[in-house]
Amino acid sequence: MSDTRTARSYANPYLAGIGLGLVLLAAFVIMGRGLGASGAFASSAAGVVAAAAPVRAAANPFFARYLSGDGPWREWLLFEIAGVALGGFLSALLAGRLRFAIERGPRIGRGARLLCAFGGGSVMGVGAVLARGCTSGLALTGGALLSVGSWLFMIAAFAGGYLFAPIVRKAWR
Amino acid sequence: MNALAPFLELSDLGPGAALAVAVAIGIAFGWALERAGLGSAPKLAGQFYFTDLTVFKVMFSAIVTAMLGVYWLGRLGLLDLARVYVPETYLLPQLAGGLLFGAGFVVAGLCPGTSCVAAATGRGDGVLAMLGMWVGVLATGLAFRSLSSFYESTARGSITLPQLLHIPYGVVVCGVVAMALGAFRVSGRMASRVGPPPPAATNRSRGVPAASPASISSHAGGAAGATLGRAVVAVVVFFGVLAVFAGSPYRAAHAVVDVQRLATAVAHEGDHVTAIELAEWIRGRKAGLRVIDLRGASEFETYHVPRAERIDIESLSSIPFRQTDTLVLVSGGGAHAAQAWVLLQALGYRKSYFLRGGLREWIDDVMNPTILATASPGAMAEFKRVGTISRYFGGVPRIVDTLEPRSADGDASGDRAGSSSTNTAGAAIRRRGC
Repeated sequence: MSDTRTARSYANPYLAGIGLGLVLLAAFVIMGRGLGASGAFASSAAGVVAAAAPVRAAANPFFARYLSGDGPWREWLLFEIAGVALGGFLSALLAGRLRFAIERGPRIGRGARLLCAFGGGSVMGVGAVLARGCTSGLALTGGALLSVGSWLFMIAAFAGGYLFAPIVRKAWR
Repeated sequence: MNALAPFLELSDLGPGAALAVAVAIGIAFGWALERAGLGSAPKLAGQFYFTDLTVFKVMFSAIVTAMLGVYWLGRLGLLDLARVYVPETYLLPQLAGGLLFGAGFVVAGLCPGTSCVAAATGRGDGVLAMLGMWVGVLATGLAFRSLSSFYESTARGSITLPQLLHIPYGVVVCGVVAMALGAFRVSGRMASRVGPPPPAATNRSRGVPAASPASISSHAGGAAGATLGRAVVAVVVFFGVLAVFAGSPYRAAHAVVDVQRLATAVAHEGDHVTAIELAEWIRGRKAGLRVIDLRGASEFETYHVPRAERIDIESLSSIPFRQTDTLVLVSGGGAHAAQAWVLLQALGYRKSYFLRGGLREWIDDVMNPTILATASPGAMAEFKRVGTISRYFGGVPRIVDTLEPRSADGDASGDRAGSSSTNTAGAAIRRRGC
């Protein structure tokens, strides 16, 4: 709400959460599965490896999983995540929040911020593969279904974030 | 009573329709994230400095909403909860992965889903976070071989908190609702102390029960907002508390034993499968096949039949399988599996079987099939067929001059004696990456 003068203020987080919960519930009811995000990254990575080195991809049990069936480019999550981007874009468009920017804390440069985004992103990628999911597919989806591993992941992720936050304080505060 | 939902499964549907649903659900997902402000990295990072608890508030209101929805739709028979995929539990990988993920999250300020929203709304940091994530996933995938034993360790299957704690599902639902509402209340106070926007003190000072989403009023404006907030809390509390008394959200399974039917099945050998039959099912990717290993966790981790999942015999009755699934029970020697078969039949799972000679038979017949060099041509032809299956699972078929004594006799003793050959078979399978 403090970003730009023209942008509408954000929705109440509880109402947005209830909305998100209803979307998740709809996924359960219609598809029998929850939401996801990191799976789309894994599937597309498998697709690229399969195109570059088919033998290696087929021999790798992690990538091979995404290569069976309709193939990595027909993965459900890939289409879902394309929808996420589209939905985010439309929402921001209507709220006047579309703009080219690098969002960062007051004490960090643009280059350092981009480096942090890339580095943090890649660490998250490693974590998401090990845990078999991310905030969407594991924490939200499994949290609502009371999966033990999902709650463990959620607690571990918040713990990891809070433990690491003082170290990167300069990036945000 | 036939549950209505889930309505679609990928297999029943043209792939196009399922993918269209995926896009539609994704749009709604992205919309909700953007509306909450979760496409903006500083807002997400604020969670970790207690200056902006939007991440927590959105996440837990979503979890409570979906959890209550799943519970009540299941309880009312509108949703078949057994057909909803529950993310599987792998304790150590999820603990380690979670810690790494959290550290990456606070550095990047975005998570996988929100980075897509950030990127789609023009934020360069969102694009870089997505790129980093993709590279991280790719690198971990390429190094998967050295990670795979850790990746597969401490597997607990699709276990839920009610199963782990031996507490009724509805009680856990109520507990999560209470925890979330309590945490919302605390976070409201905390934000007022640390957060940049000065809070509307009028909302809190009276200690109204609606204190948690009392801030709905600050957004929706005035008395109408406060009333809405209170109404939402009242509905959540009502359905949360009622869940304690409402029973299981799973469809009821009537434990009625048709003794004559079971006796007939046993007499006609319709109760079990041989190791070779099971191997053919696994190899042929038989639809709806679930291989259930009843042994302890350490034995399971040492070696198990490919695609098997571990379930304790004690928790067997509380796990909702699908009526259409083919359930194959595996124990060390076969006795436990045969007993568990009676339980599953009593619960109405007609398509349940047990592996006749247990894991011993699997090791002997599938992983290490042997035949005498002097066997008849018919037996040799059959052995050739078995050999193909065996090699698929990484087994070593052998033609020998004299048959060694096999170990598949005693139930309990067989379990112990099998561990050495079990290990070699396990190594062979891992090499093939099944």
